[in-house]
Amino acid sequence: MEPKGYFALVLHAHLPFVRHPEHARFLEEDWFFEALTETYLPLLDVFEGLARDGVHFRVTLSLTPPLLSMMTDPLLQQRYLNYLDERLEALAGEQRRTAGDTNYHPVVLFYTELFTRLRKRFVEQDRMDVSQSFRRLMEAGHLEIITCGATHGYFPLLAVNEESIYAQLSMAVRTHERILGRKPRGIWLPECGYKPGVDRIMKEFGIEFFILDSHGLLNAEPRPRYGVHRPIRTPGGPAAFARDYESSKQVWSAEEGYPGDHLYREFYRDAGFDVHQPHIEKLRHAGIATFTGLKYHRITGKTTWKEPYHPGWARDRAAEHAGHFLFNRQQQVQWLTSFLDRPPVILAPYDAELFGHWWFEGPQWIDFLLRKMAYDQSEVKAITPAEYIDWFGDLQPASPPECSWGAGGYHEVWLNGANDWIYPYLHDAAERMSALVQRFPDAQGMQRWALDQAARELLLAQSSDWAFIMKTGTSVEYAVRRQKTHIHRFDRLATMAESGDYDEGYLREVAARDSPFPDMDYRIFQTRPWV
Amino acid sequence: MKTETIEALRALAKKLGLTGYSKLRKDALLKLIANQERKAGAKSATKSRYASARTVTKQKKPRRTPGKTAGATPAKQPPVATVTPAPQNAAEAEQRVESAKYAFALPGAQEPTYAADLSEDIDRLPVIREPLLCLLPQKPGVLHGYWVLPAASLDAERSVRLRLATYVGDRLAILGEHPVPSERGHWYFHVEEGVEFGAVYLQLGRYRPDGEFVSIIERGVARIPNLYASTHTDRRWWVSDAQFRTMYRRAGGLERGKQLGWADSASSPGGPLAWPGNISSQR
Repeated sequence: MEPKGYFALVLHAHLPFVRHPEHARFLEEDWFFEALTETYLPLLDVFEGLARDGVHFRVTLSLTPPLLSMMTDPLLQQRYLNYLDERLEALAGEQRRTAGDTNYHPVVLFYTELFTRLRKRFVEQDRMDVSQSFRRLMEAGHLEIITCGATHGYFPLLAVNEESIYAQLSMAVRTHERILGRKPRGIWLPECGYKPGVDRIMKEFGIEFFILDSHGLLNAEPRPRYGVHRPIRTPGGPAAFARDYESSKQVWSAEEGYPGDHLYREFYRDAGFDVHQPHIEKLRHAGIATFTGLKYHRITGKTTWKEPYHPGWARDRAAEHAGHFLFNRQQQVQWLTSFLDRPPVILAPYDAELFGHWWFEGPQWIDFLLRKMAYDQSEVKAITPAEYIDWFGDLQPASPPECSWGAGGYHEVWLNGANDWIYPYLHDAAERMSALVQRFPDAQGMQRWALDQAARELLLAQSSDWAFIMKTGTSVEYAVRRQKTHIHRFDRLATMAESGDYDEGYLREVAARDSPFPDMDYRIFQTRPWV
Repeated sequence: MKTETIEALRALAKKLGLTGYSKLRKDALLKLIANQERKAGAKSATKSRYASARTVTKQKKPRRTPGKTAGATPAKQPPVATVTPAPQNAAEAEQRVESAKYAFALPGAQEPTYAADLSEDIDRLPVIREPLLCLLPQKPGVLHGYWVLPAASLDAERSVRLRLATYVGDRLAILGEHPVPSERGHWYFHVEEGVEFGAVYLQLGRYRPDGEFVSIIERGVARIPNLYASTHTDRRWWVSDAQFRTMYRRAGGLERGKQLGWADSASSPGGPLAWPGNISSQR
């Protein structure tokens, strides 16, 4: 029986490129290790389990170029093993500390089993490179992996220099193809930041679809016939899908959202602050207590009082929530098909790191949801945007407005009093890089090396994460430092290329640190695709 | 609170700084605590104190005390669990979760410092090649302009002006004007609602003694993002107004009279569908 409507789960997986070989341990590298432990590896477990059991499922996943670069980096792979080993050693101490404690000892054993299992799969199954495990799921047809900007540059504010948009897309498509073996059909625009005209550039790269926040379609010109429940055809050619507000709200809403359930794991309560014993204090960075990932409590309530975490109860609640979510999508599809003459699609995009890192039980919720969708009903079927436009390609032409999915819906998260100082430097550097490409269209030797590294530095400086962090106030010093470092390094390298006076030692040291995109070609900074 | 033991209530009374509670019966003690909490002010603050007092009481039972499980070394400082205020809307909730990706400790913790690398003086940012003039839209009603100029271009009278302009038919309409007191700077232009804008230009120039404006640099072009839904429908993809309104509302949009606008503007301090141009842009 044909389904009445379709459900597209879209997960946006991204972290900025953080790699510091100049330090033996580096706090911000933990962002990646925590996401591997709590999100990427658990999601792989879920998807592989579904595939093994023959469950029909489709998930769209954006793996951004910085994230793919970190997943394939040998130094970070080895450091992740160290990260797991440090925690397993700490957990051995925790087992001794909690022996006989019926509340906390089971939680410690739960983490010991989890970290042991993840280490085994990371070494034996993933061969230290999780990108290839995602690739296998893509090749089997379960996942649609899409790309993003090369360093998650925020397009609407970089578009002053069109070369920057081409460079972000050229390096993204190159990296996607190099690591995953095929060109991306779709893109997750960084922060869903859209500006009219970007659609035309995406078309030049063979991008067939992208995703906007709800108002990106709702406020399109002319009015979209199907609201957010079918994509539109943009003037440049690619299809634009939009977020379904109702399904987002069910996960995000402060009142109705699932992740706040009292049985789920509490994010902010961590052994790094609760336990003062040498085996936990060894996990500190520069003597400062930080999150360890060992979180023993459930949310419990709105007060500071927290009860011990019970994985079994939380799992049961995740199953209930998955059933509730699916029931609501069935109701939604029934309502939509009562007046729409084409099958609607409900597109639910989320930050991948919501599932696991923030909402620890999120991957289990996805597992239950996709199993229930496959077996418990026939009205809603999982689909990818690419499949949808292949099957139902008669799309309404319309022009989306400038927009993003950030708070406020436009650009103020990335352009405000906390971060507006960065744009003169970014725009000036892009103009300078484009001029260098025109001046030296076929650089060789040292000049080529300096120009390629300058292009890397500029891409890293364009990462929207630094502006976001400056605004939201977490790890601000690090973000400011990274922003200034890449601007500084770009300036020195561009000056070398312009003057012909090279400092080879400095160039070598910088290249060893900022090492994404081994296939860099500085000529990406021109107004045509360079793939 | 009525379910608490008399010992727990006495501990709470002590925490609240009350005296003369030790001989009171449970109902009298409850009343005393309630009066004190009312005096102390907001309901939320009362809840918070109650919670922390409850934690203190429970610490007498090691098995039920988080962070003080059997055999644990006593904490140098009491463990802190942060209860962050619930976000106002979905967008704020998403922002909080996204920023949690970069959290390394509890909010407000000190960041570790690392020695400068490669002897780089990163605080000395490169000199920007002038002149540079740029206009960026921030949100509906607000545009951000910045400039970097040669010092020589600023005369002693400081008569150089930055103007935001648009063409209405053949006529140039000035939407905003700002003095340029120094070689580099920036300004947020707030644009009133209710005008159909096309492209918006940023002009840098000076007024001649006869009052005419001479443009030195003219840059743009920015477009003011749209806050509202279109009123046009496509003949082939025709949708009735009623049906579109229903879909718009269910998708989180809002109505103000005949206008449909996107929901997230409801979180702005100006209230539902307030034109963001009237709200501070420096946040």
